[in-house]
Amino acid sequence: MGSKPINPMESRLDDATSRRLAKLRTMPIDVSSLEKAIALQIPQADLQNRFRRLIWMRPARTVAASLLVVGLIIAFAIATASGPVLASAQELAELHRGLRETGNALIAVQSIPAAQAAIKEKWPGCPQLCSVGDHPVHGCCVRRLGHKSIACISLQIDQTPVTVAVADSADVRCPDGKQVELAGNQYSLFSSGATNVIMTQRAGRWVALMSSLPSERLLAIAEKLEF
Amino acid sequence: MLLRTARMLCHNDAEADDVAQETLIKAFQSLDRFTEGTNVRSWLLAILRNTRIDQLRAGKTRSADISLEQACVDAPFKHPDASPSYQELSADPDSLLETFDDAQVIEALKKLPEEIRWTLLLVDVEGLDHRDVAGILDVPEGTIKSRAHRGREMLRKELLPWATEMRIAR
Repeated sequence: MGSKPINPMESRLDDATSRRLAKLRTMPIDVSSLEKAIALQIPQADLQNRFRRLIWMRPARTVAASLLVVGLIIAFAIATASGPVLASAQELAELHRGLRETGNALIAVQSIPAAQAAIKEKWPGCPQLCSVGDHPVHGCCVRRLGHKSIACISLQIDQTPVTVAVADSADVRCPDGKQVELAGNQYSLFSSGATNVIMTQRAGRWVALMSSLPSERLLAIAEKLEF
Repeated sequence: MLLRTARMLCHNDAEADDVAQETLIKAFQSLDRFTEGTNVRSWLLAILRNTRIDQLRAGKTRSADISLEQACVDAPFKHPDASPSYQELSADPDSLLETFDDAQVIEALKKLPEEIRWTLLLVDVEGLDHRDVAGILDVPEGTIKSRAHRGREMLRKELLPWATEMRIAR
């Protein structure tokens, strides 16, 4: 296959695209679910035996092996700890799209108190849900975000589906994003494709709103959350 | 690195976690076969590549991942037209591309054929040199260069409609 020569303009566009892609290298990745899975797959004793054998390996091989083993040991240590999980806007947007497309995965409820009761049955330790005004509620469910549970409520606002997720603020952290402060409260704004995501931490809770509504509208809704 | 590549390669996080997990376990089990003097990152990414191929063959993944033949990734690519948004992109490509957040760039990447996606992930995201990428993907170095160029064009083509939608470009 022959490659045609690239003109200066194409080369400039290529370089810019390459630079933009290189920035993805610094994107934070939530590794908690992988860590947990690996920890379950590889017994600690096996790790220790392998590590002992590595001492006899030649230097370069030992470096490669050490990198892996250290990574796996750290993964195991982190997985067994119960630290907060880093919420990913992309994952939350996928969750929202999933709930919107498969509404039957939701428990049908018509109000926040009914959602609270239904979620409590599945997740006794769930935090108190927040009130989102008098918008019609369609359903609720409990989902996993990494190794933590989150409560999700599906609403209809301005004829558009909105998902509100709530968790204990000790369980879920907001990633870095565009910050907005309104009435003394901090909000982090994200978007993933056509889905806008707003996260906030208030009253000991982590709350995320996901919808195709504009960010400004979601912010206005988030501002009126009652805890 | 492995999880990042897997997340950008696969269509959902569970699939990515599976492939990254299998890769780490395979690497762990085959440490004895690591050749001294070779690049550790390339070695791990080559295992990831083989694990992903196994995953696709086993049908554990979405059918949206198109094979090399189906996608005709090495066939000529039609250049974007001279639309206003393309002209704006040409005027200041860095600024325009900077307005897309990471999630949008990843979503656009996921729309590209798998082989093109692999090339961009290894060459641009991970910053490996063409020779190492050629070794991992088992194709000639020239193919990597042309796929990288075509992949970047395809990525821009995926992003341009969003630019118009977001009113970044007219």
